[in-house]
Amino acid sequence: MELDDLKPYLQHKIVTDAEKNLQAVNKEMLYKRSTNIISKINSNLLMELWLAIGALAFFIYYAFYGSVTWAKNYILILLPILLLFYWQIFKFYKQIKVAETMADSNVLSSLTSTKNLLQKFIRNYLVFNMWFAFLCIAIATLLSIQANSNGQAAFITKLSNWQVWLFIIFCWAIFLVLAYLFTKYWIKIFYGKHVHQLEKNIRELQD
Amino acid sequence: MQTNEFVIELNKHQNILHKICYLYANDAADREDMFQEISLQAFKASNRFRGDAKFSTWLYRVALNTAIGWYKKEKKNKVTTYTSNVPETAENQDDIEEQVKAMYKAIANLSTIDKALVTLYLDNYSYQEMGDILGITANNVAVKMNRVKTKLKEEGKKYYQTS
Repeated sequence: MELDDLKPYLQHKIVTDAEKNLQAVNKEMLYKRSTNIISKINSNLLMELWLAIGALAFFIYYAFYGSVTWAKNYILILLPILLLFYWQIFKFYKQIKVAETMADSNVLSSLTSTKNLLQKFIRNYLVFNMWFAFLCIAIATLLSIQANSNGQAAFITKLSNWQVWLFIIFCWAIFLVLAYLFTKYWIKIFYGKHVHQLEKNIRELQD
Repeated sequence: MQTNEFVIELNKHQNILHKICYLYANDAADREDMFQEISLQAFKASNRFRGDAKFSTWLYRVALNTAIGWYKKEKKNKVTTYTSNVPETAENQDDIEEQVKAMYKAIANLSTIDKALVTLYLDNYSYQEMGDILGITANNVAVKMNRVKTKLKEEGKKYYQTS
């Protein structure tokens, strides 16, 4: 049997399916949650946003009502970073909205734009996470040194010691490597297969 | 396009959705999910439908984009099966039915891109139209179609012999 011989059978099969009314388009169907990759990223972004809001709320609370009042200064440093995080999230959210409008462009354009968006998202996500992790680690290290110092003068003395800085840099390096590996793993779990599938399809179309 | 108008239009062309779901999804549950997803994506994009192209061509584009980008955790040891609804016109009914089944099996094992080509081809789209929908040239479509036809002929024969 050749492919052309299949035409009447496929038509018949589909008509039969439709007749059975297994599925028919109705209004309710159009307001359900989408399951495609772009929508998944969208919901992941929303989750990140809520996490960031939670972190922000915690830091603000700790800055103004926490027992360690001097932590305020560090938290004031952290706040712009969190705000930058929000800005990044909203920027991607906007881009994703644009990508959703690619549904009716040709298949190659749609696949390419989705892949580019996904890769851009992954790059930015990695850079931002590293930056955020670095800041958190830096603050945590400085806070622990301050907590172990008797007053501001002792704290400054400690910070002027190069051996202390060597230790700080060592801690940062270790944590940053761990944060990098964790983020990479996280990205691979969530988006790795999607990117691979998109690349495969694009290659096949262009072949 | 108004929602009601869109639903009517989509129902008129729902065969396109059924065909794509039938060729791309593994089982009834997947077909249902995919059908919903395509309807949803088409609805989201419907306000940009200006009528420059035929609604069916536009719908094909949305449906194929959704089906190709469709990603679901693979079910292990999943074997695609097709229920037979071959019309009772041929004399050697059983034999043709087996051949059709074998052909469907061969199609099910094609890549997502090749399935898109087969779907459009079976719906009598020209190579130029197929190229426009997929974003490649008509020549490229022709080359790919030749490859797919040869592959299907061989694979179909293999499945038929083992059935």
